[in-house]
Amino acid sequence: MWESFRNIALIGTEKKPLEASLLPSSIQEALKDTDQTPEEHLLQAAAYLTYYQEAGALPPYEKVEDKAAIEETLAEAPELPMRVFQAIKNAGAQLSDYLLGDWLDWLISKQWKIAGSESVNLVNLTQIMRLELREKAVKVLGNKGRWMLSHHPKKELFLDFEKSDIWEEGTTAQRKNFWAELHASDPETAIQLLKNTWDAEAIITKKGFLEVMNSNLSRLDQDFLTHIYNNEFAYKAKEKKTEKECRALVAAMLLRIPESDLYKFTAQKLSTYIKTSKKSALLGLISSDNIAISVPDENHPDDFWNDESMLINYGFDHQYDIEWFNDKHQYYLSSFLEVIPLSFWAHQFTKGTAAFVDYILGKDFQMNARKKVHAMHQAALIKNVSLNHDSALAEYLINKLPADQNVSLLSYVSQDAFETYVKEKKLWTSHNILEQTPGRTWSLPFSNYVLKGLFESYGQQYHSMHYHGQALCKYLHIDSGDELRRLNEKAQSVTYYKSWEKNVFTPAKLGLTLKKAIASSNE
Amino acid sequence: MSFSEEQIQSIAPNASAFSAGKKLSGNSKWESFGKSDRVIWGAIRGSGKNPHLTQIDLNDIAFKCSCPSRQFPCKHAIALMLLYGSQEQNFSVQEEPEWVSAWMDSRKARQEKAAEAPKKTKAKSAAKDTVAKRLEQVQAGAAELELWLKDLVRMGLLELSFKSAKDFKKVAARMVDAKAPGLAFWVRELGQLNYKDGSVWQDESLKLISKLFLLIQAIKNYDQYDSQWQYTIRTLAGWSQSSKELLADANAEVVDDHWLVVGQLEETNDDIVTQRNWLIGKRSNRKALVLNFSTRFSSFESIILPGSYIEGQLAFFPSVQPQRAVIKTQTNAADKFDADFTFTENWLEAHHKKTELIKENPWSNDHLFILNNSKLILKNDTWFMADHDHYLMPLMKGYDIDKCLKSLAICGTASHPMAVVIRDGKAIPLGIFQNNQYTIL
Repeated sequence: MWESFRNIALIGTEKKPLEASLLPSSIQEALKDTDQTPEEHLLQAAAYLTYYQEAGALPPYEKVEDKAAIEETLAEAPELPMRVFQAIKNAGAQLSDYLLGDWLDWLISKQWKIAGSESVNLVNLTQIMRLELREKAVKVLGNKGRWMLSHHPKKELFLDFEKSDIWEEGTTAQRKNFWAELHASDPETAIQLLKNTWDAEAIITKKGFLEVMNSNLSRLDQDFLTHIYNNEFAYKAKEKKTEKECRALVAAMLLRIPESDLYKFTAQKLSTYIKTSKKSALLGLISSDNIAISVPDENHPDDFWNDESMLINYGFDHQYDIEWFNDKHQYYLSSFLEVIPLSFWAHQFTKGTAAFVDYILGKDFQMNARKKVHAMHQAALIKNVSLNHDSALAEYLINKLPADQNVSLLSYVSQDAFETYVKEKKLWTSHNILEQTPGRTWSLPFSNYVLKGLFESYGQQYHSMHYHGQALCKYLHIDSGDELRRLNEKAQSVTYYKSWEKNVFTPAKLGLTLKKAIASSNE
Repeated sequence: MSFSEEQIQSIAPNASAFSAGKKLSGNSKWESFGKSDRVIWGAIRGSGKNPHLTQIDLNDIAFKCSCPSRQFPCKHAIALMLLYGSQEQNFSVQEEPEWVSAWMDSRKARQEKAAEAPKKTKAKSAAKDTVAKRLEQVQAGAAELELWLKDLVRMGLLELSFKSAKDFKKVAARMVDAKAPGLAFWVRELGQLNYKDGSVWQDESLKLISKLFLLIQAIKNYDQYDSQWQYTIRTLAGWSQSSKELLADANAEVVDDHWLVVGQLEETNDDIVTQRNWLIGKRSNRKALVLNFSTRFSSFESIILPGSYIEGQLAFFPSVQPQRAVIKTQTNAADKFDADFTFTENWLEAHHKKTELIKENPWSNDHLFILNNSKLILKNDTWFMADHDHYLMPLMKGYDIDKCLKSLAICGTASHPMAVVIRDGKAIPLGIFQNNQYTIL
C-alpha cells in the first residue's frame, strides 16, 4: 500500500492521480467529502497515511539469545584509586604511560577492578600505549569490562582472550610478548611450548623468538639451543641469510652458558691465544703485566681463527666495519668479548677484572679513527654488560669511561653506585642519565639532592625540564614531599614559577600522590 | 551537592579549559577555600598581585571569578568544582566572606525581583496586534510553501533529487523572510536528505512533506484552535519562546519537585549550540525538556549537570503537550534520591505511548521514556537498544560508540532500566538505573 502510494507521489499527480482505493478504508473515510485538487488530495492522504504507518510500525523484533548475567569476581576499586586514575588520565601521554603501569599493578595486587563507568576510558587510554600496559589493563577490567572490550573497535590490540589461544591464534607480536613473559617466569614451560610449534614456525618467526630468548637467557634454554645449533642451524654450504643469523644468535647464547659444549670448546680454543710470555706468536701484542691476548692477524689465519671456522661455528659475518677495527680478526675477538662472561677472561688474567678491562681498553687494542684514538673492544664490553647483566663490570666501566659513553651502563650498576656516580659527576642536570636509574626509586637524600639541584639551576636550563619532571614523577622517594613543597613555596617568588610548577612540581607531586596512595592502601 | 568529574567536564567550555582547571584542582593551589549551605568559594594565586576570587552558587549553579578570562566557566571555577568534587570533606563550613555574601545576596535579590516583577510585557492589545501582524506574514509564507509543495507533488517527488542545495535554501530563506523559521527548518531538512541513498530518501521526503503539509493546514486554520493549540502552532512555525515572559507569567504551569537530569545532548546548527536537558520529577514523574543555547560569543545561560539532582520549580511553556520548561527557582541542589519513576515495560508499550502522544500532537518528537529491563546490544555492526521481550530499537545515527561500550562495562549482559529518548524512530540512550544509582552514558 505504502509503496504504491509512494510511487504515485514520485511520478506526480499530473501523470497519475491518486486512486482512493489504494488507501485503508479509515483514511478513505476521512478523505471523502472534501473538495480538493488532486495535489491537495494526495498531500492530505500522505499526511494521514504517514501517521497511520507510524502508528502501525512496531519496533523490530528479533529473538536474541539471552546470555547469562555476567558476575564480577573482583571487587570494585574504592574511591582513592579511582581518584588517582582521574589524575593520571589528565597527566599527558608520557606521564600517563609510566603512572598507569604502577596504578595497574596496584589494582592487580589488590584484586580490584576498575569502576565500570571508567572501563572504556582505560581501554581508550591504553590502546595507544605499550602492549604490557594493555595486558595489565585487561586484568583490571573485570568480567563486564572484558565483555565491553570484546565489542571495542580496537579489541585486537588487547589480549582479551585465553593465553593458550594467544599462542595458537595470536599475532606474531602477541605471541612474542606472551612467550617473553612466560619465558621470564617459567623458562622450562616456555621452551616446551616453543618446541611444540617450532617446526611449523617460519624462519623469520624463529629468529624473533631467539631474539626474545637472547634478551633474557636462562640456563634452562641450553638443551634446546644446543639441539638447534647442532641440527637445524648447523652450517650448510647453501644457507639462507636468516639461517646464518639464527646460528649467530644461538651461538652467542650458548657462549654465555659455561655449561654448554660450544662454550667449553670455545674457551679451550681461546685459552690458547692468551699468553703469559713476553713475546707474541704472531701479532707481537704484549700486555704490561706480561699477559696478552694474541690472536693471529687476518693475513695469517690458523685452523680456528679464520673466516670459515668463525662462520661455521659462530655464524660471524666476515664483513666488518673498518672504521672500528683495524683487522678482521680483531672484529672476531670483539664478537667473543661481547658475549662470553667476564669471569672467563678474568680467570685467565691473574690480576682480575680490573687488570683485564684495563688491558682490553689499553693501547694494545686502540686504533685511530676520525682523528680520534678509540678502544676497539669498548663497545663489546658495554654490550657484555647488558647481555650478562654484569653489574661489577658496569661499575668498573663507568669509572673508566668518559661520562658521555656510559649512559647505557648506568642502569646495570647498583642503586648506590648510580647515585654516587651521578653526584660525583654532577650529572643530575641530564634527564637521560636520571632515566637510567637502575632501581625503582631514589633514596631520600638523593631525591632531595636532585630536587635542590634542579631548583637552583632551573633558571639556566628550563628548556628541557619537562623531561626532568617525568624522571621525578617516576623515581622521587615517597618521603620527598616535604622538600618538594618547601622548594615550591620558594619558587613562588621567582619569575619562572609557572614553568617550574608545570614541568617539575606537578609531575613530581602526581608521582608522589600515586606512591602514597599505594602505600596507604597497603598499610 | 557534589560534582563528578564527568559532570564538570560537560560544562567546561572546551577540553583545554577543563585540562587547565584540572591542573589547578589540587588543594595546595588554593590559598583558601570554604563553603556555606549555598555557596563554595576559594582564593587562588594567579599571575597578578592579588589572588583570583572564585565562587560557585551550589543551589542554582552559577559561577563568578575575579580573573579576566573570557571563558565561562573559567579554569578557576572548574578547578574549584573539581576540588569540591574530590575533597568535599576538606571544605569547612564558614561564614561567607563579604565578597561572597555580596554576590549571593545580589543574585537572590535579582531572582526575587524577577519572580515578583510586574509584567513588563506590552499592553495586551498591542501584543495582540503584534501577534496578528506576524501571523498574517506567517500565513502568507505558509500559503507560498503550500503552493511549492503542490507543484512538487504535481510534477512528482522525483524532482527533488534534481534540485540543488541552493533551491532548498532559497525556499527556506523565503520562509525566514515570512517570519516562519519553523517552516524554514522543515525545508532545510528536506534539502539535507541524502538523495543518493537509493529509495530511503523517497520514504523520508514523503514523510517530511506529509507532516509539513499538515502543519501548513494548521497554520492556515489557526483561528479555529484553542489558545494552547495556537501557542503550539506558533512555536512550530518558529515563534521564539521567551523564558523571561514565561517566568513573569503568573498563570504559567509551575511544577515543584526534585528533578533528576537524566540526559543531555548538544547539537550545533549554524554556529548555535542547542543543549537539550531532559529531567524527570521524583514526585510528579513529570518529564521536562530544558533548552540552553550558546554561540561562539555567549555561553549557556544556565548550567545544568547531567546526572545531577535539582530541587526546585520548573515553569512549563504552554503547549498541547507541555514539555519544554525553564528552571524557575532552584532552592537547593538535591542530594541523590531513590526515585520511584514510572517505568515503561518494553518497546511495545513505549510505542503505544508514543503513538498516543503523536495522536495528541502530530509534530511531537523526542519522546522520553524509562524503559525497564533494557540493554544495548551489537548486531551485525549495528547497535540496538533491546528490551527483555526481544524488541529492538536501532540507535540514532552518530550515537557515540563509547557510550554503548560504557553501558556494556556497567551492565555486562544484564538488563537494567534505562532512560531513553526516541527520535524519528531511533533510540538515544541517556543513562542507566542500577543499584539505586543513575549513571549517565
